[in-house]
Amino acid sequence: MGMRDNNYAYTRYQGRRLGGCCQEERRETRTEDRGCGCGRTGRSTHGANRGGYERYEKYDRSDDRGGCGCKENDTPARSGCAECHELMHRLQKLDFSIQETVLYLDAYPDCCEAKNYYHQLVKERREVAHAYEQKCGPLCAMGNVSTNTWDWTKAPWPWHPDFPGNKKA
Amino acid sequence: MWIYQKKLQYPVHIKNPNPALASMIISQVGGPDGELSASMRYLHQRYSMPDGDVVGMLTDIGSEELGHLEMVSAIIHQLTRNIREDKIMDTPFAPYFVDHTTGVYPVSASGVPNDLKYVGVKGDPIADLNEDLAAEGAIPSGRIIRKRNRKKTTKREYRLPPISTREPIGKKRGRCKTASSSFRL
Repeated sequence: MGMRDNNYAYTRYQGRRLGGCCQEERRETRTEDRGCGCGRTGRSTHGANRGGYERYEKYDRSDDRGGCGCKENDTPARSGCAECHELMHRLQKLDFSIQETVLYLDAYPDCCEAKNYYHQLVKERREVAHAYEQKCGPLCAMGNVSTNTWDWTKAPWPWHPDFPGNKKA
Repeated sequence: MWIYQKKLQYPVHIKNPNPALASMIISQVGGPDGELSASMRYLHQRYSMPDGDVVGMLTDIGSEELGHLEMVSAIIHQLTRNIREDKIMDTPFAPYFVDHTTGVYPVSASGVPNDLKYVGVKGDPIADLNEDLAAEGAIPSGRIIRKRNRKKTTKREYRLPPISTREPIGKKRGRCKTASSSFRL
């Protein structure tokens, strides 16, 4: 079985990854310079945090919540807002699709079609999640848009019937 | 490391509270085949897996099970929300209510608090994956429970909006250079 032979497992793992149908594409990404100035070429984890921080600063607008069309002084994660409801539904659909595609890719890592589908979904999810965070409140603790107010802990929480997506607005 | 997202995997909006139903669904939270047992099973079996692919799969499934746990807990919460005490005392929910009121406590329908004895972690990939298969085998029994629950609910006490996962995502789909797969998404 070689279950504790990590080297064996790792080589097998690498071999499997390299033998796939996307070999050329992978070579391209390996030699690509991601432009962060550290001189390293792109590995899969390289630059992951950098992207996150950049995004955080880019969208850090002090108190502009965007034109939601909701009442003033409404709580974040706006409970009665149709747009938030729609965005949350889209996000849930996208996250569900991503989750299933990820599980598929775990089993069939060499399927290019699934990988393309995955990247499309992730791209769209990023946009929808950004729109939701701007208009409806933070999705995770790192997503507090406002610099004045702490919206992360504000009600409602997802198990409440009034949380966007649960109830038709 | 996990990052919490302030959302449910699937929307939960229950119109009418139903403590009798909650006393059965609570088994899906803390019962032997509940979501808590499932997530702990996968997440703790990861460490002895020889292959990154299997570790990745167990990580993803275990994390998703935590999302399921939150969804089912939301169902319990909403089924027992804002309900008068005398409405509870005539139902099978009464013993649970005595101990936990309307808090969501991981317990089985028969009243046994969640126990990691339900979970097998042996450090042997074959043994652990077989244990996962056995846990999956619990699904038919869960289906029976769900069917019975469906009969117990009247009309439209569940208001779960339909969710389509197959809506078109983008106009063009990128083609794989050397793909020969006929797999359709």
